[in-house]
Parts: sequence; C-alpha cells; structure tokens
Amino acid sequence: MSLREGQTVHVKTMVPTGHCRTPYYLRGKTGTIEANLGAFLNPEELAYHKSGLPKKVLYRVRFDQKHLWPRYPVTRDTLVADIYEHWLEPASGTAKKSAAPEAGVTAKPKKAKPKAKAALPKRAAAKAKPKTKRRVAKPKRRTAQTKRRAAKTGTGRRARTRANARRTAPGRRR
Amino acid sequence: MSAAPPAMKSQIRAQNDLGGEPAGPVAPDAHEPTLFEKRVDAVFRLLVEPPVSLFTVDAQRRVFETVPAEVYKTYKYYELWLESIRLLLIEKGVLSQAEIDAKIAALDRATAPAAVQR
Repeated sequence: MSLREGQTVHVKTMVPTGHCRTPYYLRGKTGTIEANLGAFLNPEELAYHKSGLPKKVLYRVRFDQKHLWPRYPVTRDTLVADIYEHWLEPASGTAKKSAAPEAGVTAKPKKAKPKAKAALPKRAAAKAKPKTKRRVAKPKRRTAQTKRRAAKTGTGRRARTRANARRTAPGRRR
Repeated sequence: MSAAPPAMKSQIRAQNDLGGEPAGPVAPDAHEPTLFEKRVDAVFRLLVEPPVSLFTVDAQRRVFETVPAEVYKTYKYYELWLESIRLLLIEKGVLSQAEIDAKIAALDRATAPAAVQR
C-alpha cells in the first residue's frame, strides 16, 4: 500500500495484544498524509527480538485537534503523528473525504491547515466569515490556552518532543 | 476526555498509553543526571549498541511498558529503565534471577558495617 501526500486516511481501530506504536487516542481517527518518511524495520516486531522485516513505511499524518478532542477550544490547531503504514487505510468513500487535495501540498506547507478543515465542510463554511477578525487574536490565545491544555492532555508540542526524544534517546542523547 | 471508541476501553489500552487521560498539569522535575541515572544509561547503551547488541530499544520499550501496574506507577523513570534491563537480561538468558539475587546478597554483605554482620 502506498499513500500519497494530501490523502485522507483512517487510523485503524486495531487492538494489538503486544507492543505497538500507535497511540490509543488516534485509533479510528481521520487525518491527512503529510509526508512519506521512508521505510523502517518494524518496531512492533523488533520489540520481540525479531528481524523487523519486512520494513514498514512510516507516514507523517496531520490531524485536527478538534477532531481528536471534541472539547478542544480552538478550531485551527492540528496535531502531527508518525504512523506506520499497517495502521493506516485510505479513507475513500467516506463523507469526510476532502476531495483529493493533491496539488501543491509540498510546495505550500501552510495549506495543510485549511485542508484539515476541509474534513469538516459545514463547520468550516460556517466559520469562514468571522475568521479574519479572529486571526488577529489567535497567536496569544494559542500560547496560553493551548499549551496548558496540551500539557494536561499530553498531546501538545512538548509531549511530542518528549516522545521523540525518548524514542531516539537511548543511543543518541548527549 | 478520550474520544476513542468505547469498545476499546480499559483492558485494551496499554498502561503507558496515557494521551488524553485526565492527569492534571505536567510537573517538570528538571535536575542534573544523578550518578545512578548515568550508570543505568551507560549499562543500557553497552547492551543495546554494537558489538553487544543484546536487544533493541524497541524491546526495552515493550518490557518497560508491560511491568506490573504498581511498578509502572511507583518507579521513577530510570528505575523503570533498570527494571527493564533486568527483565531483558533474564529474557535473553544472560543472567538468571538466582544469579542476580546472589550478587546482590554478596554486595550487601561486603558493604554492610561490621557490627551488623552476623
């Protein structure tokens, strides 16, 4: 299976019995492929002293915070997670499909956010007008409110950085 | 405030997979690495990196995440590392628990004050 940038995907609602790398809160959720990070030995196999072959493609997937956490206070925030291919499936034939937003994704990274919004067409349309005014106030609110929130839920940038640090830490720190 | 499907609740969710669970604010405890922490880190690296390559970071994570709940909740981070190293050394047949116990007892005897020794 090969997924392309901009493609809408579902995270499978699998319930593995062993070690796995897909956080619980993302299972069953819908996101957008941001990048193909290459193929890696499967950590879920390496964890059991196996070879880790065949390699699995790791994708960077972007999610709407509002989609992950219904009570999330801000609409524009997104969360990025690295997820292995065997946890993902194309979200074709779903109501949430965001009409194949392929063009210019890599060239204009800013497009990622509006695109995530396209997953919720009605809300996005409803909020299209007041957006201009809101944008002015946004940056401040983001730092104060969102960070606190993220600290609480363990989903913010810090949490991600920590998770990444831990993942690469044992051999690499210092 | 977990929004995941309710059918997957509790028994399936790994104890380390806490994202979204109510937990209060994060209390960062920044400090210089202690000697104990540095030693655990050193032992870990010697075991993981070539030429030893006894187990992978992934295996360590698996063991780390599956310790009994009391252990997971009460041990500090590097204590959990050490515990996972112990479990992996046994799992890979490098040491037995009996050997570890014997060594600890010997060290206790060697370092105990003379008056306390029997």
